[in-house]
Amino acid sequence: MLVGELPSAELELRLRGNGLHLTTGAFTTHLTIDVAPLVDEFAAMYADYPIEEPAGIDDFAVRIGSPSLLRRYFRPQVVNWIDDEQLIEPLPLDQALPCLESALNLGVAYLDVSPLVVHSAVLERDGRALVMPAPSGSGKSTLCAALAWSGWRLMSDEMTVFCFETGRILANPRPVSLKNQAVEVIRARAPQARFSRTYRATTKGDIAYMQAPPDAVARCHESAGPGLLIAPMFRRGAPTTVRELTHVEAFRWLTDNAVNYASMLQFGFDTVTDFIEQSGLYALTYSDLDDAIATIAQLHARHCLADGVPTSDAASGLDPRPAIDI
Amino acid sequence: MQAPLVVASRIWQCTDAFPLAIRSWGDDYMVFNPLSGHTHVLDYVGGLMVRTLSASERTSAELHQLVATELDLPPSDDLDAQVDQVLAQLDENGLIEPVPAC
Repeated sequence: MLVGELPSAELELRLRGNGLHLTTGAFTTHLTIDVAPLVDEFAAMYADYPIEEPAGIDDFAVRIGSPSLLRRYFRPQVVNWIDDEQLIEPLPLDQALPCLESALNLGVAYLDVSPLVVHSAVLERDGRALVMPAPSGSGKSTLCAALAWSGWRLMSDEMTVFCFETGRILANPRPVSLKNQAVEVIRARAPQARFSRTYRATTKGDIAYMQAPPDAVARCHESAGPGLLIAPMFRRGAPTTVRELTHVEAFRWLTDNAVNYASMLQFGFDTVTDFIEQSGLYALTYSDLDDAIATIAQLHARHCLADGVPTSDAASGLDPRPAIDI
Repeated sequence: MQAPLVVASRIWQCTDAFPLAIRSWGDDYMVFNPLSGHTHVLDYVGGLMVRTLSASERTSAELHQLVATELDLPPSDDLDAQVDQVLAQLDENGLIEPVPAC
């Protein structure tokens, strides 16, 4: 069953009661929401996502609610609890959706035992992953959102999840957070894209969320093999340039942005080095989105087509829903 | 001439209990030490030492000769001293160790 198939009254009842088990691909979250305005926003953003029924093993639990009874009425606030632990300061009630999105990211980051997770956008084409680790301000999310409507499947804007057992990358497509004018840029390029309202003055500035494209959500259990690692850097007015990264540079891009590399010990080392040895490695500087997308398509064709690496779960002999390491 | 840091007859080894994971990428080596949990980036000479010692123990003199051969350089005290410095650094980082005297 999908979130959008539940009548709104039942969805609210479940979210405010025992919760529901939301599957976003690699992870299943036991989600409880006790903040009325967020129920509708959640229903809109997550309508296409499956609910796990009967419930299996959740990766983590998220609860969104008010920090106190008083704060339901006086300068209302919202807070998230991840596995019953409050990890961030309360936010104004108006930022309930950013609060939920933050919780769904933190839940992965704070898993006791998890797959290797790298803070990075990741998309898929022809069964091969395009991984884009980048610091804040590099234009990663804008480029990711544009690619998601240009023939690439969105796997995640926030995290690349590596399966230890197979080295493949697991999808976890969720809404893409876009800042300031990026919303209008993507809206102009992809009129079919659907957005949340704009949330003003969040810790990341003014942001809006772009819903993951329906195809990305429908295929959220399909993994991808190694393909490209591209470190993107938006520089206003700059021509599109590509520089090949050394293996060591690529290793640093991945591990510097990894959430849990150090705690993964040799599993982490082997996973990262295997990925690097099987991928094209580049730094991309750009200002023109069309040019950047065309360049990435060329690099994809050079590295990922007709080289004999399995391009689908079926071709690699894998279960399309590989088990999460727990 | 620099004084040698280690005597030529000293025998070196990688610890057997936790084999190092080693990847060779051109002139760079990536080494993961399961004992410490640390990842190291080594240059060609450091990587050559670790890769050689992970296969079998060697004396300092054998390693001097190996580097001279690999780099196609004539043996010299300067080269030996540089190799000894690399060995000392690898030892300090816990990647190799001298074989205890009986």
